[in-house]
Amino acid sequence: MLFNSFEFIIFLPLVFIFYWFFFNRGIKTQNLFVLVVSYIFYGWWDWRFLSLIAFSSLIDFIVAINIEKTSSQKTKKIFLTLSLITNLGFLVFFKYYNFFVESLSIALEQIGISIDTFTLNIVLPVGISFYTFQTISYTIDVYRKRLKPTKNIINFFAFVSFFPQLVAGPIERATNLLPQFEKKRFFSYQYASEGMRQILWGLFKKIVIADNCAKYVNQVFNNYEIYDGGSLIIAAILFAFQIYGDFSGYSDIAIGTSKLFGFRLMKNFNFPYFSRDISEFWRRWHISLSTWFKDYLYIPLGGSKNGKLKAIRNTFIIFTVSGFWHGANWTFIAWGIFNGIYYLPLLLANKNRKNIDIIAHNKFLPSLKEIISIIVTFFLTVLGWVFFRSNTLSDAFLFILNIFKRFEFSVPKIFPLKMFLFVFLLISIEWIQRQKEHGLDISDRPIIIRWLIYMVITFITILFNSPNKYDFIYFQF
Amino acid sequence: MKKFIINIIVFTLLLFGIDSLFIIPMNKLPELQYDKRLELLFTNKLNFDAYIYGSSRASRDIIPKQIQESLNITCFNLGFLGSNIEFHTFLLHETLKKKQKPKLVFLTLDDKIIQYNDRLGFRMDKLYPLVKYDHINEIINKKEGKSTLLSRILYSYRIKENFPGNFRKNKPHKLDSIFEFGSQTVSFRNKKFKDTIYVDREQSYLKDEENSILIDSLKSFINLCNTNKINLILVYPPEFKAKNEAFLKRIKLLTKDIPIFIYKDRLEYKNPNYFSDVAHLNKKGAMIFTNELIQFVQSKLVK
Repeated sequence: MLFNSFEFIIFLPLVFIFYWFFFNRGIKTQNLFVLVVSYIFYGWWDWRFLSLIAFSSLIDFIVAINIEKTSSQKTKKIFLTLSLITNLGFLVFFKYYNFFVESLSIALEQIGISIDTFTLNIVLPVGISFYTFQTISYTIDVYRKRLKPTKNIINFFAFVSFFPQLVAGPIERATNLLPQFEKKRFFSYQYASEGMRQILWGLFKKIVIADNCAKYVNQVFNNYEIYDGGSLIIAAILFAFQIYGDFSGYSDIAIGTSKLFGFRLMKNFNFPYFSRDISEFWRRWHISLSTWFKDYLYIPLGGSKNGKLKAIRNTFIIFTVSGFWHGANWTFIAWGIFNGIYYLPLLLANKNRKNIDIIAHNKFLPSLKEIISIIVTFFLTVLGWVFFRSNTLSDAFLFILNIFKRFEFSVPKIFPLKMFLFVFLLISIEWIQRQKEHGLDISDRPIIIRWLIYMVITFITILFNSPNKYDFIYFQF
Repeated sequence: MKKFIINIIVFTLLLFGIDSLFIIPMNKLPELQYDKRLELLFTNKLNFDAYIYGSSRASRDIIPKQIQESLNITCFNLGFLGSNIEFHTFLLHETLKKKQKPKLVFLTLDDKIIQYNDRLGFRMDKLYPLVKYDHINEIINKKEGKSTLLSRILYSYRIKENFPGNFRKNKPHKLDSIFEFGSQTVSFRNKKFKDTIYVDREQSYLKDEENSILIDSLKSFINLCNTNKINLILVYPPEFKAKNEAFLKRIKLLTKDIPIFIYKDRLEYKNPNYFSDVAHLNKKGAMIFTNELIQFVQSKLVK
């Protein structure tokens, strides 16, 4: 069920009431209840894939215990490899089988070899890219002795399947989330109120920003050949806000929902479009994924410790794999590589850790230099998003080419003023709140102002609810 | 926990309280529309012997007052710019909900009547301002995939499609003005039409572009007339180009015994002075065409 669906509006309060009033006797009942509702939540999509997540969880539960039990380094490695092969095997099969088969066939055809391909009608299990990475990080952390494996199967299964973050992240680390399952949760008014505010903000971003942008984005991207350059630019910019509203909106709802049950998840977006360079953007966008790749791929490859060439190689590997993680299409790989290319100059000049403070800290407006940096960084990401959104590489290149070829010095055919106002509202609120956890983190404001803001945001969300319903974009990953 | 639950209850009460204020603009919406035809239809205030359905080719090319005076029957035009056969069928269905059913119905034919195209559609925008009526609300919910329950408990959700544009008093556009008995004839000529030349070549029609939903709608329209024993006349008004014989052949096959009035070949229909644009007659042209239509009806009635 979607977070912005009627079923979830019924599901969440029921789960909340049962959790705090009937299943609050101890950790065991709390965690068992979380596990059951998480499986109900996941099974709502497709009950057939419950066995997959259960099997994945069971393998990693057993593997982690055995890694700790054995003293032989070789045996530890074998168990870890078993976990990696199982999890990545499922991921590769469900997500990439057809892509590899078709790509191989095309590649062989280029050299005159024709083969019979056998593609399968595979349904991608929702959330597989997320929970797979979550469980892999658990077994690796146990292997690295960063974490002791849990002996409580309920706790572990609940950690893997925890419903707010199961299908689209944040990709939680066991070091953060698993210990929370090993302590009884107590209701906190402040925490729950924070959660409600964050859910409201997430719904605003998804329903008002993302779904309304989607209408124009789909219209233009699906027929880019007929639109003028100005409309193409506008559609690309709107996509940047669609994907931000969609994905960060989902994360906010996930984090806010978790707070209602006494859990703290990691921050996944930190106002990325205020970044002054690409490296800062990647410290603020989909933080759980980028830190995952840093900790479990970049650093094991040597990171930046073994010279510039190795650092460049490792950087490109990370960005390419990150692109590939998003989907079985060359466009995602191209998007990843593009971001790697953007990152390269900063890496070579040792400026990739330059902007680590909060922009315009303790000032109301940024400096002119900062504004220019923000705009340049934003447009670089927009260019990358064209690849992310396009169906094929040639579509992406033609889209960009048409921006210049078909540019007219007149009002673009697609000029949704209403969307610009919404985006301006979003940017304004997030700019004011950039030092806070999210746009509606207003617990320090007077009560009347807070309630007025809640009402305004709620009514805007109801009134400008898009007539077309769109799945969360990251569900397809 | 107590404080949290109290806050949720207070928030919910406040939400519904503020939401109830939206009932005022909801009730005001129909008054702001200059085209009141649909409201008259849905509130059973239309009681005519004959109705004209179709797109702008119905509303601009056929003059109901002329039909009234010549045939001695009351007549009303329910043609809507840019509307498709699905919409016409819906309007006919609404018309037939009344106790007194019409005796005669005209349906104009566009070349694209059973082909999907972006010029013709189901005019949801005409229904939105009438959302205060429950059955219109249900239709909108069904068509737009909205939650019926939410639309019943939240007025703001119910009227959201009207934000913000429909809350200004609508002024009639020169191409969408309403005259007597629903007529929308225009007397001026479109600027772009000035240099257009009459197209005398054979028009094409591709069966592959047909849309099954639109074909079903056309069949439903015909069935509704048959079931209710209403005389139906299909009308093919002139355009500033040759007749699409391939389309007419196809329509005759689909509609079988239903009388089709096809405009006669006259010099006026090749003269731009009788057209407002390539697809529509102006008032002068509409008077000539309506007269021909009346003669056709009279000949049918005599038979």
